[in-house]
Amino acid sequence: MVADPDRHRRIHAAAKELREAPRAGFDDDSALGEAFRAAQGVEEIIALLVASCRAHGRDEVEAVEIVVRAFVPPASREELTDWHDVLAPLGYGKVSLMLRRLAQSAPSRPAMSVLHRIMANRRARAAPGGRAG
Amino acid sequence: MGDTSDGNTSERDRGGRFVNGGKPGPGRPVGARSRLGQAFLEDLADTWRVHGITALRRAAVEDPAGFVRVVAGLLPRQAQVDVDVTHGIDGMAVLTSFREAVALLQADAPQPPAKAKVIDGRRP
Repeated sequence: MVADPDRHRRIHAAAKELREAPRAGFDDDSALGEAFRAAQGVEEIIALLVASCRAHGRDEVEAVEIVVRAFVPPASREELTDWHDVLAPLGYGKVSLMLRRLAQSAPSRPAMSVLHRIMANRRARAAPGGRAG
Repeated sequence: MGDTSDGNTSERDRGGRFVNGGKPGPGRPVGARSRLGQAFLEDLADTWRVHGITALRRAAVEDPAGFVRVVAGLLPRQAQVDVDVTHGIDGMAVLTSFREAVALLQADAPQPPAKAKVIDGRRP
């Protein structure tokens, strides 16, 4: 893969901006907004993003990479591989290659396991018949 | 402030400072530190849940509407000269096609071999 420092810098800057200051004012009533709301997973959101980029002649790989790099906590290797495995057979070749590339340096396990555990404990406590305290 | 009103606290001088050789205080109650840590993490969990828009990955699954605002933040910025950005595609049609394609692929995927029937699971 040809290294492009400008592109790399641009993606990281956009991901940082997206992570720290999500843009407001998106038209939620639009047709695309409705579709995004109906999406049931990251794969479907990527598919919508790619469709939008293709329709408007934008770089779909760059757009998806920005979104994936903006994830907090970062996407794990297993998740990236799962998304790759869904998208690659459907013809999302460039995006799939990018996901596989990101998977090589992604954390092997999801972060924030402590928070997940706390949330699970809370849910267990809140559930009928759950343990007290 | 320098007085020790309760009987079991450490010995201090008039300025409230510990006296050399004095009786030590009761110390930290057992479990106080872990309770503090737990409380902090729970606060953090609350914040994380309230401001889930930054927890993009989780939001994508649990709060798609919030996630959409973040994802779509990419689009208007690049499309200020292209007003029809959100009307160029039929998002629901894309989504429907995508789901159909995924379902077809899953239907075509080779089934895992059936597990061999265990007649007698006991070890000799």
